[in-house]
Amino acid sequence: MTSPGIDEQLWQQLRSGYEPAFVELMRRYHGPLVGYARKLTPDNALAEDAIQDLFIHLWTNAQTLSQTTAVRPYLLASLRRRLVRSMHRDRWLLATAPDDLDTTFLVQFSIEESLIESETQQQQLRQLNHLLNRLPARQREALYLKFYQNLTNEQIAEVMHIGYQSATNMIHRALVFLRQHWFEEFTPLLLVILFLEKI
Amino acid sequence: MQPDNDQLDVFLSDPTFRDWVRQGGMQQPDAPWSRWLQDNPAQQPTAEQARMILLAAHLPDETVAPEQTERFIEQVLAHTQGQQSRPLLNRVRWLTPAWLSVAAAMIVLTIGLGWLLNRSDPVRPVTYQALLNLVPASQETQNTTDKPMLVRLADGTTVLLQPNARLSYPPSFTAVNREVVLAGDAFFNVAHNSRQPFLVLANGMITKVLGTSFRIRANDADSIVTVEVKTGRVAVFAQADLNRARQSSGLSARSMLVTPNQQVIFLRQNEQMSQHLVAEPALLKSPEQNRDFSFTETPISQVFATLETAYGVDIVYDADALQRCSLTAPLGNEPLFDKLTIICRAIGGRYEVVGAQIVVQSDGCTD
Repeated sequence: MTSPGIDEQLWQQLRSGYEPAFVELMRRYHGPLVGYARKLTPDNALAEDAIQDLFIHLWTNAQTLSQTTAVRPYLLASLRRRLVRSMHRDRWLLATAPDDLDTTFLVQFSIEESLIESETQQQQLRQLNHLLNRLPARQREALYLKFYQNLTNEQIAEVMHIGYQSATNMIHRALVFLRQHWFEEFTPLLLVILFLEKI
Repeated sequence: MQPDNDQLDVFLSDPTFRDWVRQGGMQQPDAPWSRWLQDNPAQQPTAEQARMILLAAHLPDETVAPEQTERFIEQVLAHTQGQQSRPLLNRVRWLTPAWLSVAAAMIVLTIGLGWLLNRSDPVRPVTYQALLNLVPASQETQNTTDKPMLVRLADGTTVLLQPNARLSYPPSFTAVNREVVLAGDAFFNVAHNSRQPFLVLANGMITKVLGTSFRIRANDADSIVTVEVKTGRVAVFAQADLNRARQSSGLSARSMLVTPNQQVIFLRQNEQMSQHLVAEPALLKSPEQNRDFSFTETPISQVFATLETAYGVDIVYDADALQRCSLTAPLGNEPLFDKLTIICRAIGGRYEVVGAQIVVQSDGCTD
């Protein structure tokens, strides 16, 4: 877990126009923002520009920033808004129009190979992984924000610009889908196998 | 299916659960989550489903190289350099003829003031080289290896230098104070001597102790210097207060007293410092009651009191509102902030770290 107090303190100092705090915030958030941007657009230059514009905007508007923001969801939400806007704007320039952000999320989940305990488990995981990658883009994005940006459902709603209830429903639907197609058939069997292996 | 799905989401939403899975899950039988699941077998199938989802939703490590981040920062600064935040630009409105003559007078005045201020208050960040002139130190050790390096000083103090860190110190401590100069990241374990205080000068921040252990990070490229206290008490001063730090005249307005699990962040440019909790407060003292932080229908005030003593932190909450709240959970050796996350989920609240305090907010519990 990141240290919650420091980011907010730095934010406070950024609001008073203090440059070292601004630099420190960039140092802390450049990585997470690059990670998110690359999943929203395949265009690395566009991603880098959006992050750069975001920080320049923060600096020139430092004194009008709101006070009690949790820094991470605020930055991720601003980045997402910027990318949606610029992809919209550039749409006519491209030979093949890109899908809307809401229908593409460029994450293919893989399998954590190092923690696989058995052949059977590997087969199960392969199947589950396949199902995860078949989830609609927005559901995969919500799971990514939960698992890899450590956001709460409330913060996921803020970043994806939807209501809290829609965010919760979306995650709920993803879990129902995974369960229906996978767990109900396999889990009892799996537990028996794990149990037998332990003996 | 609904209740189970909720429980599945509870597991998946818990950062400590995700860490437990990524660190091997049941392969660590002593982990709090492993023990909790053994005690709550009814939860095992749902927890196993949550674990499988996490393993199948893996992303390869995609950290950005530090050099890339530094290059990015330079590019942004190239754009913002010299630019002030916008409200200052709004002053253009003042440039009406009537104001211009006043402005002329003020410019003269400002130049005069600026000259005075510059004389009395050098704001240029202090560097390692500049500090060497202030301290009678004739020996220097620099860690040019890629591993931490232990340096033993004449008084028995040990200093663990991280790669690239350097330390300047006298062969023996004959002056009133024991004074050393640091650049980089180092952990100090200072031999106790109440008659000869130990001072570390680093990038404009002075740390003064009698005998204790703490870590200082003072990299030349960083805009901040930090000191984290592990044991004992430490006083931190700005470089401008060097004389005060050298005498035993106590604390000044621009100094701070730091206790274990706290850190001071010192901003080099304006010599401002602020107090915070460290990122991961360490366990200072195991609780005598509620061993292993195992609580069974324990009133929430007692839970917080246990954490306060064990981690030396200050937890602020509304005792009246939380009167009916109690906790049943094995918190084990999870980090402090993970324990707080679990507690807050149980009492339907949230916590925030404000400076060096932890503030818990909740609407209270019903019976």
